[in-house]
Amino acid sequence: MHVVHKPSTGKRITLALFIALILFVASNFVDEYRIFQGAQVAAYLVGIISIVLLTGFSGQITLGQGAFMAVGAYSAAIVVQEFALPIWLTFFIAVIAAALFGAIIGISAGRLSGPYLAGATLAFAVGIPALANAIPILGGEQGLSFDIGFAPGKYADTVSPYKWLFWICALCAIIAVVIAVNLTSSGMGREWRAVRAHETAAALSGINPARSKVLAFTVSSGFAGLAGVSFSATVGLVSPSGFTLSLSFLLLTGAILGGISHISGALGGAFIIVIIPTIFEAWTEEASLGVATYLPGIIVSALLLLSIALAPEGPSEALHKLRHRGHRKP
Amino acid sequence: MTLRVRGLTIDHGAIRAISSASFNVPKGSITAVIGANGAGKSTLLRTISGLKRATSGNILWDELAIDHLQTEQIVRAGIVHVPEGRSVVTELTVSENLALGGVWRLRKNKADVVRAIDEVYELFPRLAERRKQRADTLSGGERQMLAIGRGLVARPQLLLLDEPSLGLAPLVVEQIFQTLAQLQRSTGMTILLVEQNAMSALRIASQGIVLDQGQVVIADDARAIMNDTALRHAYLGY
Amino acid sequence: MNLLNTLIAGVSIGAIYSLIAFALILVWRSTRVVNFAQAGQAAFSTYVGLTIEKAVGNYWLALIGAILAGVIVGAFVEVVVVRFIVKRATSAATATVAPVIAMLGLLGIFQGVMGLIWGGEYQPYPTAFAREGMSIAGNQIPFSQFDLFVLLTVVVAMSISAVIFQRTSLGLSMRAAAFAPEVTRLSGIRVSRIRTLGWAFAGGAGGLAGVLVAPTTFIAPNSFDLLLVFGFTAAVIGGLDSLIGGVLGGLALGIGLSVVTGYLGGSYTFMTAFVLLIVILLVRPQGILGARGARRA
Repeated sequence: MHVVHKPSTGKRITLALFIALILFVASNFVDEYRIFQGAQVAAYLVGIISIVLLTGFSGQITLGQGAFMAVGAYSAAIVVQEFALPIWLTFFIAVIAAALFGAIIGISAGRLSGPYLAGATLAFAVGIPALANAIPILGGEQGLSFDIGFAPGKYADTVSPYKWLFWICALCAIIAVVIAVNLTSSGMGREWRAVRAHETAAALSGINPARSKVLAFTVSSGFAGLAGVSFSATVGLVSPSGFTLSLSFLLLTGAILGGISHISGALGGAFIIVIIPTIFEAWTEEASLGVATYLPGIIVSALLLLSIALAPEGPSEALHKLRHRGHRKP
Repeated sequence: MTLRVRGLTIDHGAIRAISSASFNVPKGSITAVIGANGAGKSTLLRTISGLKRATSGNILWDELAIDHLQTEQIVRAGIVHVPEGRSVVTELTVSENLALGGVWRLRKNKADVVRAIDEVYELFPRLAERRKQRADTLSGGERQMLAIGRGLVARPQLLLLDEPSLGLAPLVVEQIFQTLAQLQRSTGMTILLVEQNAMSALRIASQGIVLDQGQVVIADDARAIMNDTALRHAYLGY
Repeated sequence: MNLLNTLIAGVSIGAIYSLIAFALILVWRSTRVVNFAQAGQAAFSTYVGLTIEKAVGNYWLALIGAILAGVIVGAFVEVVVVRFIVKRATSAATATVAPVIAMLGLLGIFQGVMGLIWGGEYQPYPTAFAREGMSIAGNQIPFSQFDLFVLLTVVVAMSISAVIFQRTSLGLSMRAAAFAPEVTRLSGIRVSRIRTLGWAFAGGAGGLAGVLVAPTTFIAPNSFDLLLVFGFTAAVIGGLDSLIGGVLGGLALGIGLSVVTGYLGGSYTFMTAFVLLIVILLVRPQGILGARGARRA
């Protein structure tokens, strides 16, 4: 029996507040474009966490996480448009709406295995544009505007819109990380992993696998909803073109590259998927535009394929195993 | 052609299934490998036919080292394995299952494949009656006949048979074993037979090999093993 | 619009769904992988066809070129990627997830490469036949010469496949390898080669489907994503294991969706297919046509 010292919830919150403070201060010393990218990283981070929770912990594959993000984002945009609710409230609504939707899908998904679940979630993601066109309130191809506006009151003049955006997205991300870490180190996280490892064994030790899977789907969708609304805030718009299949692929790649079984890997994954396209921005003037447009996608996909081929559990997982090989078994 | 196994060691993950086994299967013999459940008998056959890789040791088919060949190449060398559990393709018909056994040499000698299939029908007339039926409609004994028949269509020089008696009624077992003995006499082929049903196997065999917990404990004349009461009590439980 | 016309209108698109379902099922049976990259393979093959068409100006040469490209790409994908992935993903947790994600990565690579070579905009694909509805006894029906051509081509392709599967030793090997790979290997058949052939075959079917659907959908790197989803739905209707089931599933889906489009409007087409997919997966995961008897060929 070995004792692991894990930080308590209180310590985690203290740490999170400290990180928030650093980010707050740092945001005053970085140029506007980097701040915008920081907001992107924060939004992707939450999206990747939602995949890590679902696939890494609960073992349910999703190819269409972008669709759940879309549910959250559209819910937020609709309440803004129809009821003119304050922006901060829409974040909660997005989380709740996506989680509710996730629960409904999760009830069906819990009964689907591997390729079937993959196909169903893929179908969902592919169908987002078709659905947006079919339901009039969603605004068709143009979508709905989603503007988080300026900082309140007298700060509106001193705080740039990008900084304001970054603060909101970073705050969401920090809250999401704290909740996710607490969830996964709780009994619930252990249940999910037990079901992933061996469903029958988990059932025999008193866990209800079906309920555990639906719960995982619900929680994961809630995170996806938050990611969706953060993502829409960075774009200023909720439209079908924002939630394409490539977005789902991108997030899945981030989750795999960061390490599908660890929340801590999500940040690395989010950085990678934001940084890769920026590498080619410098090229754009010289090389043809097509290269800069398509090469990032090819590289991201190739990384995804390579990491699956070389380390099926993800590269960071392989490193993790390598590091802990010494004291795994006597 | 003689099969020679030299110092063969096979592992199942962390478990040693066969340790350092050496024996010969002489040409034209029926050699019975007997031993309790879990003695490593099936693993041995799966390694000879190339479905599994040995940890160390050699398997020689006359001068040819077959321990690193692919299953398909081993079949082409004349060694055909009929695994346990009446292994037929249940979704295919009887005649399709038999044809499957000859597909690999269809281009070389189509006439002989047709002849071999006809011979199987003669050997097992029950199969001839059901040639258009799907294999999953057959009884257990018929399926075992079909599995053996599929192996015979390849015209093996060495036939590896795994537990042909498993789960079959004694009368059916008797019939299959008699057919095998008769087949061996008429064709001169070599048969390596793995069996838990030691008595039936030794009765038609010329040589017996007793496996116990992965080790060859006895390799002797089949009759001598049957007559050795102490040995029977120790390893065969009767 | 009367019901008969609606039904007729769905037949030719249904035949194309059948082709995609056929390709997905063929691969699933031999490798236990749902080939989500098929959308990319089919689009790539179609682009090859379009390039030939532009260079030579011959529709038939382009058609054959696209099918051949599909065959080559399919075999390439199996030999270079799939074989490796399946060998590596051995633990229970990764065996189902890893190939799916790998296929997705492959789809991304395909779409990116296509964008690099041919650009991202939608391009028209020519046809050799009229697209206006034919008239029978003075009444125009929503079924053009092109639709007839699509239907006949698919029927011919399926008939050839049926003959190969049921009457040749190659087909026998493919069926045996799908259901009992070990017994097939022990029968001296090179199962890995048979598997490559299966992927090649499926790739060819995808290329054909691409050329047949492109005049309607146009061609862009991701223009077949929706086709893939419909093909998958058709395959699931058929039970994912039965080629005949998948082909019938495609026809049923095409006709069914045509009825929905005709009576409710085009915006409900996808939703209907999606709901259908989910309902079938939940209620009858073995497929509507995937009863034991249909599992055969």
